[in-house]
Amino acid sequence: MTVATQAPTNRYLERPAPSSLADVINIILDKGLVIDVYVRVSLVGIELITIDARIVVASVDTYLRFAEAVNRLDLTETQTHGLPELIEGITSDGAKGKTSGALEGAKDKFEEMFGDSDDDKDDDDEKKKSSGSGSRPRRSRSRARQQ
Amino acid sequence: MTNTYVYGVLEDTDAAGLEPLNGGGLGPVRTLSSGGLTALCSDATGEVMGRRRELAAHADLLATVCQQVPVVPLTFGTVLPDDDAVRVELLERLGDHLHAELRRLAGVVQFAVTVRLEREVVLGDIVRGDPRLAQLNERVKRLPPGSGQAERLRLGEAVAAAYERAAGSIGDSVVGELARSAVDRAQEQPVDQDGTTALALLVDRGQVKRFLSQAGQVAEGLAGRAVLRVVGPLPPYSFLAPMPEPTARSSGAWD
Repeated sequence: MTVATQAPTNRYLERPAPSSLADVINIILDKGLVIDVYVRVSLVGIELITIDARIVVASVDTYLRFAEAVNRLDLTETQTHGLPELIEGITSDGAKGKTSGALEGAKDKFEEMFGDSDDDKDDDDEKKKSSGSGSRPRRSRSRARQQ
Repeated sequence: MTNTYVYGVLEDTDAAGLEPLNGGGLGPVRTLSSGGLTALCSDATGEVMGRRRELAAHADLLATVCQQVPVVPLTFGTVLPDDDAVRVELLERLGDHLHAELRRLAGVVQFAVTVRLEREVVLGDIVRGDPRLAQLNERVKRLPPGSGQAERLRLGEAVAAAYERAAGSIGDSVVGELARSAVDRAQEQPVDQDGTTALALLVDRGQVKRFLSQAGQVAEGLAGRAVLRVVGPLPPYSFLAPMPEPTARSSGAWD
C-alpha cells in the first residue's frame, strides 16, 4: 500500500523532502512517542535546542519594523493581484531576504551547535531565507518537552 | 558502550514486506521483534546525539517506512540500554499500547503544512487597500530620520494589526480548504508575527493524491500572497495517543 507522493507543484507550493533542516526541526524534533517514563533514554543535545526557543511578544520594535517595511514599499504599481510577473518581482526584491518565520527561528542556533556544514547542500534555500534576519525579534513556539 | 537506537515500531507482518532500509547518519538499520511487534533499530555508540544528519536519518527512515506500512514513530534520540531492553521494556511492556496505536493509525499518514505569508506583497495590499494608511505612510516617509516617533508607531501599529488580520484570514482559509481532505488536524503553531501558520493534517492513505492536488490548487489560489509548504507523507508524529501511566513494576532498566 505504497502511498503516492507525486505532487503537482507550482510556484506557490513547496514540497521539500522530510529531512530538510527547517522542517526536521519543526516537524520531527520533540514529536513522536516518548518512552522515557519507562526506561532512561539518552536525548543528548536536544535539550539545548528547546532552551533556545523563546517568546518575543509584540512590542514597539515590532511596530517600528512594520512602519519601516511599508515605508520601503514601492507603491507606484496599483495592483498586484493576478499578475504573477509583478508579484515575482516584488518578492524577489526583498521578501525572500527579509521574511523569516518561526520555521527558521531555531535554525541558526541549531546549526551553530550541531551544524555539519559539509552535508548542508540541500538546504541552500533555507540559508538564503534566514540570512540577514538575525537581529529581528521573532516569536517561536515554546518547546516544552513532555518528560 | 553500545546502546540501541530505536526509530519506530511496526507490526511484524508489515515489517516482513519492507524494502531494505538505509540508516544513513545513524548507521545500518536492523530489526528486533517480540510479541508481534518489530522495532527498527541502529547501534548507538554512545556519542553525542542530535547532529543534523542524525535528525535527518531518523526523519528519512520513518518517512520511507510510513509510505509502505503503518509505523509508530518514537521521538528522535530514543536510545535504550541494549537489545533486550528494546524487546522487554518497549515491545513487550508497551505492546498493547503499540498494537492499538498501529491499528488506530493504520489507514492514515501525516502531512506537515506551513502557510508562510509573502510579507511585501501582503503589506502592499494593505496599504493600497486603505487610503488613510496610504496617507499616513506617505507622511511618515517624508519625516526626517529619527523624528515623528509617535506617527511611526501609529502607522506601524495599524499595519501590524491589519497584517495579523490578513495572516489570520489567509491561514484560516488555507487550513479550512485543506482540512476538507483530511481526517484530523492538529494546530502546531497559530499564526505568528511573520504571518506563518503551521499545522499537521492526518490524511487517509487512499486520499493522498487528492490531498496533494488540492494543496496545489490552494497554493495557486494564494496568488503570491503566501507560500504553502507541504511536507509528507510522514508517520503520525502529532497524532499519537499519550502513553499509559507507568506501572509499579517498571523500573530504570539502565541502572
